[in-house]
Amino acid sequence: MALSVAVAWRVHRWAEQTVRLGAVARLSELAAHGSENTKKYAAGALRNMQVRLLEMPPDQLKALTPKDDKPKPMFSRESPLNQARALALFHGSFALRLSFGLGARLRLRIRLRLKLRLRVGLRRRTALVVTFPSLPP
Amino acid sequence: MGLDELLVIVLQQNLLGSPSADERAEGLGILMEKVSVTYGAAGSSLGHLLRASGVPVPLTALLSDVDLAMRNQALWIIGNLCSDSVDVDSALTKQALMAAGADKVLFRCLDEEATLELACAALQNLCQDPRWAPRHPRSRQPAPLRAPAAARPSLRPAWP
Repeated sequence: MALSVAVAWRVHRWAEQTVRLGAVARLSELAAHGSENTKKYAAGALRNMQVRLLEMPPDQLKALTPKDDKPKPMFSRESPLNQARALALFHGSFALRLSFGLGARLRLRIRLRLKLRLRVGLRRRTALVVTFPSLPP
Repeated sequence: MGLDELLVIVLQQNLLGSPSADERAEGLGILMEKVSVTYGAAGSSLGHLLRASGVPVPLTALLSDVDLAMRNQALWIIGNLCSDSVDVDSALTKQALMAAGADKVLFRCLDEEATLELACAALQNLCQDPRWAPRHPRSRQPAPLRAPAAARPSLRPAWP
């Protein structure tokens, strides 16, 4: 018997509930677990969830994210890392994410910090040039 | 006495929800045996019978049983009942489990080393979208990267 669209829609509440209850991070950890079966099943669960989340309308996807009343700083120390994690999760590179261990995370953090410093440095240098133009000969 | 008759006794006597650990273990053992040999139309009938008998509720309760073996058996049964290869109407079982509050209990099994393998396996099947399965040729075909990791996963081979 083929499933109706309405029933199939309700099935996806499991994927949504996994996000709501914060189990995605745990599944991501388990996708790098020592046991082959655990690794395989956790990766499969994440992949199945990803399929579901990608086809959700943006407003529903937004509603899944935990509500936080506290204002967040625009340039928080964690934000580049979180953004990179979110990109890895939602824009493919799943295999990369599986081997995303502590060492890789640290390397990424260092790279992101260096990149941020570089950008700030470039802006300052540009500002100096604009503010103090050289005199005509 | 055949397996079907034993299953009827399990359901009639509500052995899965019994206060006696021995009865719960016996009920789980019979249910596991039945699920492990059921396919196709018989799987659909079994799923319907179990849902109509309200089995998702005691199964959910067994996920937090004090006995580790019983927790793992309940996870194995849930994982298989939520596989399309066992029951083509597994979406209804997933819905019944969600209504019974299995989500909150199941996610706790992810924190325990002894149960996390079967918890992940069950979650993989619970989060699976039947619309992507190859048995629906008219459904939208997924791009290779976004295809489910296991279209119709079953946990049976992993169990001794």
